[in-house]
Amino acid sequence: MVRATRRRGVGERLAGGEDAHAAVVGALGTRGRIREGEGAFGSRLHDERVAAVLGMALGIAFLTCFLTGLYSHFAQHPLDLGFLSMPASPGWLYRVTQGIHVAAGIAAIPLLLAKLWTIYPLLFTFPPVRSVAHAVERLALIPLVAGSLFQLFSGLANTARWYPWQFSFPPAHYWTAWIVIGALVTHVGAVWTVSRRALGPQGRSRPEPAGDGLSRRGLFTAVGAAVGVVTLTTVGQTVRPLRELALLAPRKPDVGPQGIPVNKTAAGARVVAAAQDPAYALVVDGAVETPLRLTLADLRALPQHEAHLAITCVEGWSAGARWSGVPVRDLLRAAGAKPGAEVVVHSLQQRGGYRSSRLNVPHATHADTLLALRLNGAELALDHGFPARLIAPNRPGVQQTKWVGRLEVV
Amino acid sequence: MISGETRLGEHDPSGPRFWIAAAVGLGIVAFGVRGLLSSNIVGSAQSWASFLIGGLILHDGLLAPVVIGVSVATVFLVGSRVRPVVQGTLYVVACAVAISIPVLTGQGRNPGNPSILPRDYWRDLAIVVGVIALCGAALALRRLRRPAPPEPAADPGGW
Repeated sequence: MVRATRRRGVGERLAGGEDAHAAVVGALGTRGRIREGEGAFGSRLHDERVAAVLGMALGIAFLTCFLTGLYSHFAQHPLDLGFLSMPASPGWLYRVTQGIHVAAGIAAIPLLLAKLWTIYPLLFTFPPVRSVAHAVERLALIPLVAGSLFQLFSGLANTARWYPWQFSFPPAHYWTAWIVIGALVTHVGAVWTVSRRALGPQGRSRPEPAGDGLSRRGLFTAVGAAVGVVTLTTVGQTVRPLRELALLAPRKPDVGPQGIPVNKTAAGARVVAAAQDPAYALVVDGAVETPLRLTLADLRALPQHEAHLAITCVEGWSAGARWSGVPVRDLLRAAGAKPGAEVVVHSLQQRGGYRSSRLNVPHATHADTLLALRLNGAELALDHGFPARLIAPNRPGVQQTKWVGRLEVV
Repeated sequence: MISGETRLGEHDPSGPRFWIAAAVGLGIVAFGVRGLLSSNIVGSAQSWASFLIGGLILHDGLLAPVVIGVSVATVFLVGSRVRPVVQGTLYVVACAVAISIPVLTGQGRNPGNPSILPRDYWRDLAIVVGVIALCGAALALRRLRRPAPPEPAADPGGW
């Protein structure tokens, strides 16, 4: 297709006596793809191959979010089915999976927006339904599209601790994930044949329609750039070397008391008085031979162990630190707990969620599972759980119980 | 008119692969709905449903038409040689803005906990948008400096 002469713009056409409609249509004819007879959606990017490539990338991002999300869910709501119990090592595992969960969710936002734009014309398909299969395919798009938008928005808002809704975020995000993945399975079944053709060599080598807007390659470049921008400006909240680039991240991994961020403060948890009470003593009881009652001075006098562990928040930030304190397994041994015992760690906190957590056997017996008294060489700040907090490898931050008052052996 | 085989949405699903996927997929959807209804969200299911449907309406009814409007505006306002760069740059900027909305609201701030939302996000978003715009401008300049290409032909493919 060769066009030698430059066509005139709207202004010139109007000046030349054309009426408004003719001027606009004529000008668009040279510049865009919205020519008469071409339908309302003229861009050459409303294309099978564009939809398939973006869809595949989005599918990979969603599957990544789903699997890492399941891992996070079961880290917080253990199944305790033998081999499915959460391991205590490698200690960095949850930090990596949850960092990936949030990063993949953020990366999916540009992908979803581009994908929805590509297929937007199909919203106006006429007739709306051509067959039973077509009806099933289109019906499944409602939970798929609505659920995708819901998951990405609610997850992103949660990372910024913005809750403009009344529902409880964790169960809503968890169950909606199943709805989205189910709808995605149906969708993949529906577009399998078309996508294989579009992604295969035939689709790759097929020339794209002419036009002078963004090309297919140009769109993929733009999507890649957008994914890069949103990732680089946020992922530094957990990937420390990139922290200076994390201009849009809700956290700086080194801002907070003692250089570590805090989710729940002592004031927020209403434990300021209890945590600073000079009569504080840790109780170790439950299924033990000799219940223990240890003052802070007693705890400090016990052999101390040091561990480099990260606080990893479900919200996607993490920060490594040097912790020292008494290994929980030493306390269990001193109290005469049976081998293979599990432990419920109770906070001094009287109200609110996440005020206790459970240590399974791998965690309870791991050398680095500490009742920590010190952080980076200094006494724990009140907001980090003074006088004593739990810190253990491979565990979500909400389960690193702060202001620990009692270890209940079960 | 886009040539036959590349038209979006013309191919109707069929065959056992589709029906098996539909049965399994919709079964998983039902599992999710059931889990949702039996979880402690149930008291606020209305809020959940309004966010779910609200997102759909907001996207299809507002965001998509606005994007189309902006695209059409670039056709009028921007020369064809740099238009692809302008469109791509606007899209990248829009994505950066979209992911910033929750931090820009500042709703998560807590006076007792300065480690939450510690930045000036309006300033930082301006920096990010500025850098994207500079990159876009550099690309556009490069295109303009090249000799005018012959009429844009069909892309030979390859992607």
